Amino acid sequence: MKISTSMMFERGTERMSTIQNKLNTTQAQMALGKQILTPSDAPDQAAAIQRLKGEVQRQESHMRTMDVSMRRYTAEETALAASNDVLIRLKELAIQAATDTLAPNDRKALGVEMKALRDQMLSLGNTRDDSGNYLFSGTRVNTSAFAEDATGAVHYQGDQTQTRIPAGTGRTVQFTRAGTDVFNRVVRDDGQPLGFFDALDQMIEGVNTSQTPQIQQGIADLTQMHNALTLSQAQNGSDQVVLQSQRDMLDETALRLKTTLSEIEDLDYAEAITRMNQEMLSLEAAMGSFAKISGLTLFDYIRG
Amino acid sequence: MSDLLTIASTGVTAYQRALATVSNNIANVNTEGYTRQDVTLTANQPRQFGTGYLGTGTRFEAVQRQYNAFIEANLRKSNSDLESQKPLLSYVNRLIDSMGDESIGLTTAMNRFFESARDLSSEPASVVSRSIFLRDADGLAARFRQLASQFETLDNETRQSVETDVGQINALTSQLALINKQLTKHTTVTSQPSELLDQRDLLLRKLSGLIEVKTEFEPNGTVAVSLDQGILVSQNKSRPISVTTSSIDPGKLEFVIDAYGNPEPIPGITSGKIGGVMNFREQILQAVNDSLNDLAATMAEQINAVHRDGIDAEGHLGGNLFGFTAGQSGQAAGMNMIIQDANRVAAAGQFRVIDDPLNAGTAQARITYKAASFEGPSALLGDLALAQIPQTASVAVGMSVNQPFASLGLVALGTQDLSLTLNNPGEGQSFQVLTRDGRHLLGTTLTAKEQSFLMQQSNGLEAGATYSDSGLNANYSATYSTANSPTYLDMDIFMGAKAEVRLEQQFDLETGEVLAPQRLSAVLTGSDFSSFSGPITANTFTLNGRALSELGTTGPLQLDDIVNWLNAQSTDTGVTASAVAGQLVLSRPNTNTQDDIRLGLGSTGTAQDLKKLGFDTRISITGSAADDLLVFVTDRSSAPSTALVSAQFAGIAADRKQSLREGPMTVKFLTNTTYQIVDNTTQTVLAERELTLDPTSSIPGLSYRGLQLAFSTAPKAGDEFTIDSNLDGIGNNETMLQLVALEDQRLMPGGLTLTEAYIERVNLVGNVARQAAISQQALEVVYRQAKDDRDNISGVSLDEEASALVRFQQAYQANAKVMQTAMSMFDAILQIR
Repeated sequence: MKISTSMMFERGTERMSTIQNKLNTTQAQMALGKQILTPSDAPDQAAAIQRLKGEVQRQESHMRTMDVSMRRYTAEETALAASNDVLIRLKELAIQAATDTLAPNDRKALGVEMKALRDQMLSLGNTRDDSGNYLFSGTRVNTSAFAEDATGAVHYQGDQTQTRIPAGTGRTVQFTRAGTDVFNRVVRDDGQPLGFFDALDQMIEGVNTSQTPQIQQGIADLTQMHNALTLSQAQNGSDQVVLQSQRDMLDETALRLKTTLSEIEDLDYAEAITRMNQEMLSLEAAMGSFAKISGLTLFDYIRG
Repeated sequence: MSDLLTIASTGVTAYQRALATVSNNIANVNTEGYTRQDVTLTANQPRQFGTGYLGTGTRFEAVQRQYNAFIEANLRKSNSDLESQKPLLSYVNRLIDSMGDESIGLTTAMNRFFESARDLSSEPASVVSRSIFLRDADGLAARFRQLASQFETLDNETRQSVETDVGQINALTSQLALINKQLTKHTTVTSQPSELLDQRDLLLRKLSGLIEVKTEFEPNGTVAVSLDQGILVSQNKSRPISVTTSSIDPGKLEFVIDAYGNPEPIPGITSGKIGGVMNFREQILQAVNDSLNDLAATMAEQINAVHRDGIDAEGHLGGNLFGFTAGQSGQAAGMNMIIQDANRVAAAGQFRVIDDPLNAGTAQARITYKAASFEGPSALLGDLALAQIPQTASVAVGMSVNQPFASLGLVALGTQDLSLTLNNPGEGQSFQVLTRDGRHLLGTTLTAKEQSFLMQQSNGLEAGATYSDSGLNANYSATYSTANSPTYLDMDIFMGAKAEVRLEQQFDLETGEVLAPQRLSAVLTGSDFSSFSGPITANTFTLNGRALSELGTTGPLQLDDIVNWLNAQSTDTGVTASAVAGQLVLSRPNTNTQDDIRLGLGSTGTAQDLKKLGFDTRISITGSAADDLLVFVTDRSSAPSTALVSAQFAGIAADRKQSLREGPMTVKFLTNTTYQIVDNTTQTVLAERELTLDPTSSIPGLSYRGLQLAFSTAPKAGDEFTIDSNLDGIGNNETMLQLVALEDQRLMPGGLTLTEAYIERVNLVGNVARQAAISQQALEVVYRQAKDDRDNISGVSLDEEASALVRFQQAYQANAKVMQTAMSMFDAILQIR
């Protein structure tokens, strides 16, 4: 078959530019560390990459949400633990106050400390989280959970709405805790409910006025309060465990997804370097051989 | 003797020409479209000498174009195919680069939007989270616009490319027509100048790159060029193609041959460069653009629906989050964000339940809303439902001994200014109006049997509804405060005969302008009075809320008796009676232009009693119905009867969900299982029921008009739960959670989520790109093969020419040597003396 001169030149340049293009791509891949530089490099993979990236983004967003709730739980935990300590101290004082041998003045001295502890309890009830929202106000996060009115009686101002936040696909965790669940009302033997702080106030009044039945009632109330508080602590603890395990699972999922994504998208340097060497070699060969072959013409041999 | 010299000279001449041909080949080695020329030498006619023949030399017969029509046609075809694939691949690659790009593509923006919605759901009260959410919502809309503008750029670019190419086709065809004209000078193709034919073939090849053409060659080499439909070049005439945008669909391009002469539309161009571009426009760009618009529309619609249903940080209902600018090419191009203020982002749910802190029980309640659906009627019966002003309608309903009642259907919540009249009531016939929860508003206290007939879910009542006639036929008065109004939800609802304050239209006598209407005192006029026998027991009627005393006369009662009886009670009722033309007329004093007249039924009265005074019994609601009301006609006559009922109302306007939000309600547990639902504003008991413990679910719950309350455990007697419209629960994230949930909902056709639908498109385009790349590689091989074939025949190889040059040069030299030999032979003869 005849090879026309123009065709020989055309093909030679074409081949060299093909190799040069390949080299250029390889170089860019190595510079960026990516196997796929633009979606058109691997159009059939573009959708898969997008899906994976979206999934990774979502997992990370879930994790961020969990971190927010974790911070909230930790703040709650601190407040609950402190409240627990206060309650224990209150109970100690109440038991001391109930001792018959104590003089009324001594009881009054105890009453002063108890009042201070009650105020501390109120301030714990109005704990805020790191964004300045009240922890125990339900969803009325801008309103303090408990407020004293003119008579000194404490009222709950939040609501009981229980919100949940997403924690992973198809999974939610409880987010808000109503103050009335933590600082729970007490139900006395007669079946009459009484507010947490009202019960405390009655007890302190009993201590101040040396009313033993009132103090005894107060001790019984404190046991109930303590139970409710401990229950909240337990719930908080178990929520944290759930959250942590969910977060661990998300971590693992995200890692797996990232690995898959990396397999598709990232460059295998060893392979790329080998490829580049190969391409350079063939470009050199193509150039060298083309220079030689194109220099070869019959006219050189015709001596006039 | 002449011959040797002659023969040699023919050889010299022939080889001179052969050498010229070779040098022409060498000279045109790089000329585009040049076809190698070869020479044909032929031996001259021999001359007879005796018995033999002697040759007379050679002759230069012709210069031959090294040409194969079949191979040339093949090259054109493969060129068309390859050229159609090239723009497809390059445009599809550009498309997927923008769709799949992280900074232009949609996936990132969609993910980010849902992500910040999720972040906001974990910190609904945070202004920062709200602002970020708005920013990302704006980013999403902007991304839709950017992508749409990328598509528009591609649309414009491809249109321009097609327009340029069509211009080129027209230039090529007119050149071909010129060449045809020159070719007509000769009758056979062999006598045509080779260069002219080269030019013809080159033009055809260029043409085939733009559009696939059919060619037909005449014996003299002129060519006729045509498409599947329509001739482009015939003899020395060419017909131009023109391209216009479709009048029906401005995105579509239409092609016409010879638009200004003999127009011939081209249905579609599928090959050549134009075919490739058109294929991209119509099969890919259009589809991708449509699906982007669909996605934008669905996304905005779904997100808006959720957002409208939420409560913002200021306690208002959320509005639309996204909108579309009119006048853009599609939804995606005009998508924008409407809400600008972070506090207007609606993150909270519309309802909230608050447990009373002093509840004895430990039950915690959760609330959800799901539009309620009830059995039974959804509107007034038959034609009555169509009786909106100015229409009126009436229906006749039959009652039997076994079924002494008939449902007139439902007066839906929000029905305005209803008037429902029982015309000429038969004995024992009466209207009964109940709520879905069995609150009996108008009528006569139901017997146990009637209760069992009416209080059915199939009639529209709530499951577990109980009957109550407290507040039956209560009198409405505007002077009652809302909180102690005896009527249901402080609604102005009345049964009996009623006359409103009259309004007389006033006009300015000079200008004819409409003035404020003049108020005239109310007048209630009955139909023709006919005597009936007394007595009228006490409390048969009420007039303006006062029970009327007894009219003890036994025997026939005349109109005057009635007038006198009524006037005796004027101080109480504020109404004077008179007899006018045999009709009973009740009227307020002229000075009272405020109060209406209401002649109602007392505890012992019936509709028929009212009819005796000349009045039909009418249910009238002034203003709007505050709840769904079920209307019945009952018959206590123990005989079959028919009731004729007519109706009219001003309209129906209500949002059931919003009406539930209007005032807070309290669920009060009277016992451990019996509860009342009370409207806090009017203290109206809306329902009293038993808590049903669903054996299949451990969570006790109740539902009221779509509100679902679920208790964590069974409540105790005395427990109260307040349901309100969540005006200050800015820490509530219900709406945001619903918005986040949209991410996983299969909202798009084919059961795809929003993100998946987009990724699916990217996938589709990616597959086309992959296919196009493979096809292009294959077609390149075919084209290269065709080109090789052509070069094999028509191409110039310098080596081949070099050898030909040497070959012809040697022959030339040999011929010259023959001439020299002939000369020396001649000299030899001359030297013979």
